[in-house]
Amino acid sequence: MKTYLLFPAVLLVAIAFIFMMRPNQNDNQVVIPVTIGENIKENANLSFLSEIVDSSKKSVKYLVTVLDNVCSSCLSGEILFRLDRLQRQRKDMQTHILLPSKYSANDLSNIKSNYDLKLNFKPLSAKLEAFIQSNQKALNRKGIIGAICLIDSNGEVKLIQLVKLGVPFREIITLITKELT
Amino acid sequence: MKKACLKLYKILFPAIKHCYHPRKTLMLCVAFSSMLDAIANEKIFAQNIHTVKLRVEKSFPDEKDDKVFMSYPINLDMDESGNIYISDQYLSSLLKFSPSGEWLASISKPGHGPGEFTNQTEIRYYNGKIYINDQANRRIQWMTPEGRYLGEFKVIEIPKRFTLHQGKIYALNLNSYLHWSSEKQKPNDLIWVLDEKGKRISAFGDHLDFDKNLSPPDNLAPSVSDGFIDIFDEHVYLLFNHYPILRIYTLAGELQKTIRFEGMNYAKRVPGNYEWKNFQRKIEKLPFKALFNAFNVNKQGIFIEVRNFEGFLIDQFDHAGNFGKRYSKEKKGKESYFRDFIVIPLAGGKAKFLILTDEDDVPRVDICVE
Repeated sequence: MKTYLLFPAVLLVAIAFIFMMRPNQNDNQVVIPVTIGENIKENANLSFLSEIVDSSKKSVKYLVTVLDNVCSSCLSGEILFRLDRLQRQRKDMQTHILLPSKYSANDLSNIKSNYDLKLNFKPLSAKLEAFIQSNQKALNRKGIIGAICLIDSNGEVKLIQLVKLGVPFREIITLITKELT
Repeated sequence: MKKACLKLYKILFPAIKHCYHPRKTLMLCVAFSSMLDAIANEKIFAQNIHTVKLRVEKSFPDEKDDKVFMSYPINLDMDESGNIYISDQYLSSLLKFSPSGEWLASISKPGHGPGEFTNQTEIRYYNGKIYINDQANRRIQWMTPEGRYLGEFKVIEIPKRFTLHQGKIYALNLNSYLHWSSEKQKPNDLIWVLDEKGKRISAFGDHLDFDKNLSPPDNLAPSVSDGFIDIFDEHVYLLFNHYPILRIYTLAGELQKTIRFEGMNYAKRVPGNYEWKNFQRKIEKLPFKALFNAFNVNKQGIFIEVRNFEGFLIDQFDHAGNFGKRYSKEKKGKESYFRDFIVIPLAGGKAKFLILTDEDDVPRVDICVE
């Protein structure tokens, strides 16, 4: 028996064991990159989103997006009204729009009622907003606006990547998931 | 006749120069025929027109006054005491002047917090408060004339214009962009009535029903319903910016009357299908003028500023839309822009005008009388 091989073998087994036992951070995150360019108007009807929702094996329970602002002449306005159409088609799904604290409860209520939207508007939690503010450089404006995630009934998250996102966005998704599920 | 010949020469010379280009030639032919039409209309109209020259009584602020600085003032309003408030969009500031034009205070708070405003498009004084169309922050905010924050609500689309009556906000075009920009679906109502918290109480006002004479170029769509709104004697007056059409509604939103200003040198339509960036340039070449800059409604009638490249013109109509008289004020600069105006009725059917202009980068208010 070549005992000198024992030590590296045990080491390899140990590493493999540690690797296998490590909690998988992506267990509930399946990232689907959908590259449509930086301008959503290239695919203005968000048809790809509808296709993804329809093709999802498990029923989509939540569709969540974080917006830092809502403005009609910007990308955010387009996303908002397209999501509203999708929500009207998919009554089994709930669409949540998370907005920062500069929008009061009254403002959220006005947006919903004045524009007759079927979407659910919620304020960002203090923790999530603080996280976004502290990572403002990584999460540039487009990154926050462009992100939409789907959460199915098993808590599985699919991130629809509309624009190039910073790495910390994964952490935001985790925080959103904890808040909603 | 001499003027007509000069106009003909101005049109024909570039036509000959550019005749090798079919599109340009076509455009010039349309412009030429429109010009003949406009000259004929002007001739008929000129026989009956009563023009009153306005005399500048006083101008303010004084150019040499270091305390007051304006960069791009776009809008003015007046309180019950006659104090004048001017909104400067570029400086995100609000200036207060006495009725005689003495500078009283400046509020400059560019920013995003409560009481701060950035790139505001319009101000309105109402019931001791100043309402600000805070464009950059997508909100309508109100404060005391001293600049103390009182309240706000957010909007998705900033209204092009707004006015207040009985504690309600009548806002124009709060949702036009979205509907026009997306899929040409039927647009919603032009005027939204909001409560003090920004909740929509009612809405009314159809978009223009475009026909052959009023078909907008496709890519001008977001701006076709731009206009002005004012309230007088329990009626809402809506004037379109690019089309000589005025609508009068009751406060409940019932259309009472539509007035089309025909037979004058107001534009019938802009021929062709131009891109927005070319629109301003090309319209200046056309013999007729299509744009209104501002309007006022008071007990003396309806006052409309007509964009004209030779002088500042304000046309007065009665409340039924019949033409009364034209006020004219000379331009002093090479580049002169009319921003806004207020009409103060005087005894004997006369009026005093506060006209906000920017001539050769010198913004000022002229107090004018007949």
